[in-house]
Amino acid sequence: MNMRRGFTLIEMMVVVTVCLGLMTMVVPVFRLVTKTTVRIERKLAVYEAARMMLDYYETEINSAVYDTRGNQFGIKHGQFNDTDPFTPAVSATRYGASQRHCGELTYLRMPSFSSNTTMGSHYLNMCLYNYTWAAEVNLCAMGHNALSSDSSWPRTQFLADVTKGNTSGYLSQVHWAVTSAGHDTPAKATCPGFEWGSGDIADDEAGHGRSLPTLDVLDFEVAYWDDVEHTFKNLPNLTSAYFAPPPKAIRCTITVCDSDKRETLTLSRITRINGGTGSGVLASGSPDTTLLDPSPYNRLKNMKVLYPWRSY
Amino acid sequence: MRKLPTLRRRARAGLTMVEVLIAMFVFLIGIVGVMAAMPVGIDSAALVIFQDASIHLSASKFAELRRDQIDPATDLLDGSAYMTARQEPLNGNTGNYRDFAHAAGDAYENFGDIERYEWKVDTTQLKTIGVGTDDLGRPAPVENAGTALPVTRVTLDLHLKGSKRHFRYTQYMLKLN
Repeated sequence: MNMRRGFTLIEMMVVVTVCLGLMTMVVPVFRLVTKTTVRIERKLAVYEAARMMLDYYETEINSAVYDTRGNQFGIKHGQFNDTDPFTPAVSATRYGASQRHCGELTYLRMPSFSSNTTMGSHYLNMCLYNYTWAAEVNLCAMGHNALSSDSSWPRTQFLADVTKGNTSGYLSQVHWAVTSAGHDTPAKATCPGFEWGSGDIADDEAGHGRSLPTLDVLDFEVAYWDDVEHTFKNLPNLTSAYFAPPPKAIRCTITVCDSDKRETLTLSRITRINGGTGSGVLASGSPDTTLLDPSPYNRLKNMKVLYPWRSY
Repeated sequence: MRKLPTLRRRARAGLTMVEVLIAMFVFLIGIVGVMAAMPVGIDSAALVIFQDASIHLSASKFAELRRDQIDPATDLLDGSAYMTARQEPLNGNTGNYRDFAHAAGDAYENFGDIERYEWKVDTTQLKTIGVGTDDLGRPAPVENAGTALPVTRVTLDLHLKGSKRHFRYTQYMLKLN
């Protein structure tokens, strides 16, 4: 009869104590493993995002072309303080803190479709043969959206929530032909500031634009190789530079974060510029505030003056 | 009334404490087994991260070599003028590895966990097919035994410090100048 009544209190207490002991040992380990797994997954996500972005940029840069003048390879740079509480206050850390580094690359590319190239005409693309003004080429820009913001695409939204920031690109097939001033020259057509969208240098017949949305990126900064000092250099805030010929290499640095805003990662990729033979040395002095005079290349440009519609 | 055997009565009484403890021990073994598998997954993920970082670093290092228009057959040898003046010095670790320069102003200053990686480079200058002899003494082609070609096989060996992990990335380079 005594055995039918089940466990005694003592037995139950012993079992419960042993069970608690086991759980006490197992649960922290389990939590640690779970936490590590989640962290690793976030790291994998940001590494994958960073690799995709840098691979994409490298591919784009390798498709850039130039003519004998080096038209056109440009870099722009701006930096803005964000208001997102996720990012720590500006510190000695260059990336990942509350200062967003925003860059842009501009370059020429052979058009994927062109009436000149597809119809067998002798009119070849300006970037290869510079003997005709009837030239078609893709003017391309890839950069951080906060840099190219304007009144209809306010910068504040990207600075209030860093996951809203991304890089995007735009390819525009332009056809330099008759302008209001007659036949314009490619030198002027591709000079700093006369980029796509400037109606006075390109007609709209072949102005087919194509957006290239890319991934979330907190920072996107492009440094150029100074072949005299043997170092990569960043442009000063709110300046641009157009190189002719292009520098030998650039370094793209990006910071990405996961969608939950828990993990950030900063990586960089050095890319050699095909055909880049320039020294990467910029003229000294204050940034230019005009486009054409003096020479527009290898000089710093003041973006606040040259691109006032972007409200820098 | 006949009394039931003691053993039968014991079997109906439920589990003993010893049985419960054995069951819990088996359960614990199961839990430990499952948890032991988790680090394997984590380790695999860490390997993927290492490979991811290595792809970036290899691509960058090859871009540096092409930027500098080196002669890969001679300039990439340890002790060459190029490796001495333009690349990172040996870091003293076993295997003649070099760190990626990551002080302020250096090329790799903005790369996550860069101090964990080290690199070295191996080169093999390719040659045309040469002429040798087979087992019977007849003329026979011998691979990579003829005259030197202006092509060098360059292999970057990236190593995760404190581990046995290596990532090798090979490209063929021409002498450009």
